[in-house]
Amino acid sequence: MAGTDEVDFSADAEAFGGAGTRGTGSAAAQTVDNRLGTPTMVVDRVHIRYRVFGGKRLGASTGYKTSLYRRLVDRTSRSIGAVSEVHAVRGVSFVAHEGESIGIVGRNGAGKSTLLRAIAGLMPYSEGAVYARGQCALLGVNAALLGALTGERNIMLGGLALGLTRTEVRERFDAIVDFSGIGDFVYLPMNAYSSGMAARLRFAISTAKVPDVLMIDEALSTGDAEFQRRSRDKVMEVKDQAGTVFLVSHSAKAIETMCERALWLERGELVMDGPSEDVLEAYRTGEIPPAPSAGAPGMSGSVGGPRR
Amino acid sequence: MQSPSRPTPLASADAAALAAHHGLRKLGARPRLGGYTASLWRRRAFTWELATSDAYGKNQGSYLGQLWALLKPLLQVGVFYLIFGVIIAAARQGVDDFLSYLVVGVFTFEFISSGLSSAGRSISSKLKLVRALEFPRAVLPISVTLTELIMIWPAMAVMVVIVLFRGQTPNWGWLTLIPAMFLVYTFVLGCGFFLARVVSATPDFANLIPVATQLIRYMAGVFFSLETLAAGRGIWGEIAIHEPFALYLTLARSAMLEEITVTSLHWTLGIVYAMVALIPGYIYFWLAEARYGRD
Repeated sequence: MAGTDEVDFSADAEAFGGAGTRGTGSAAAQTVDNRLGTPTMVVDRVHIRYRVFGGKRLGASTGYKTSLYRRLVDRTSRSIGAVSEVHAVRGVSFVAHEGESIGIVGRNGAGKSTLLRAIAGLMPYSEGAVYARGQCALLGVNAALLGALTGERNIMLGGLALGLTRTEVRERFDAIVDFSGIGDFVYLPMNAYSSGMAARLRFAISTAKVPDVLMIDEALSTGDAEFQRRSRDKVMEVKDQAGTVFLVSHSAKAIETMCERALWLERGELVMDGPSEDVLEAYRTGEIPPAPSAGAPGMSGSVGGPRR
Repeated sequence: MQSPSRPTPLASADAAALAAHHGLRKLGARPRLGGYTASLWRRRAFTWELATSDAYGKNQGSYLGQLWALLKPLLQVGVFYLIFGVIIAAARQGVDDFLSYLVVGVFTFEFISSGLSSAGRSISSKLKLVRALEFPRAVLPISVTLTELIMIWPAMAVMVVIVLFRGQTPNWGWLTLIPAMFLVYTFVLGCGFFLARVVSATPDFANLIPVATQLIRYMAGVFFSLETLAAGRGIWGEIAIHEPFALYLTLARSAMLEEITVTSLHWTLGIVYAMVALIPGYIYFWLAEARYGRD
């Protein structure tokens, strides 16, 4: 990290009051805890809404006692022009730093995966802003791969998709095959692979390049012990190279061992941000910290639902 | 931080200043057109690999595999010849070598219609890819239309063989098929950029593309001689002959068939149409770059 930045922080730290004070550009930089590295990502009041086609209109009556006419109309309106909006993430803000690993916890449908995609720059957000350094990558998901192609061709395709050049992919080819441990199967179409083999190859391809910000979504992976061990190795590698890691996991234990900081999402809102032991303890007890003065979070007629 | 309370965020201005101070870039902001085009160029290997892989993948999964790339167009010509060459013999009016005329028209139009419909769905059909990786989204319309172009080449080879068997003599003029197809590709890509954005914003339009191509298929004279039909119909006849789709078919036919001749006006129009489709189409697509991948 740049030495000048550190000097900036320590020099201004005393002069600075509390978080939330308005200031000039350099004053804003002081809000960062001086024990931490340079920010790699700043997320400012991000909202994500998406459309769902063909769902039931929210608020449409569903009771059995309604008239036949009403039921017919409702049933039709579910299939024609039925577009619901899901407000999955509601005004999340945080700052991530170099060498930090951050776990994201929350119940199913809390918006964890959606938030991860948005901060990776893969899913457009509706409001707010995300600032990031360098390349962000979502690990273990490489949708560029095609089942009809051999592993060999998929390695080339996946590598190019990550932004490597042809030469770079060829140089890493052997390492990818070794890491995936699929041996000669690499010359067969991926359709012939067991799901475990396919997952290993996808993982090996997606780790061919070390990004500045690494995102791991265990909900999207096979989540076996092997994957977790390799994710852990990868996390260490990224942290060593002064990157930042985000981890979404259902397992509080995985987050406790891999992350020093945790974010707790509840119905799309960030309800807690702090050292992972503290956050996980609160998460286990299920005590949601009260919202600051503004009152209970409004539900505004939309649902926070699972992304897929 | 120790007491359980909700985190207080930075003010937006401070967050922006903090990001600027550390040289972070804003995600989801639309890049400048020049930078966008440059990043698109850097991704050319990916675009090509995606196109060839898709083309290969489409014919896998059957006993005859890649041979279908040849068989499908041959069977198609058989069907059209039966209907428009034998059953509705009136369609042959004004053309000496009707089979060659039909083959060139059918295959060229096949590329146009499949290119338009794939390009229209290029974002929605590859949504998983859009949500998994970061790359300039214009890669997708380019790549899927390239896939269609790759898949039409075996058909073009079949076309050359058929034309040879029909007694057309090979000559240097045949090479003009390459610039003709290049113009057709550019035109289709330009329209494709436009359709890709429209369909990704409003998926309903995807259903209208086949209807539109069906209409164009008949209007552009794929199965019959438009010149014969348009003769003596004044301005409307002229428009029907010189609209982009009919014009591109004429250019392709003029390359392969001696009886079809074109002037420099045809080529000029061909270039103009291609440019008028490509440049505004590309800019229109780029304007929504930050929105692709959102439902």
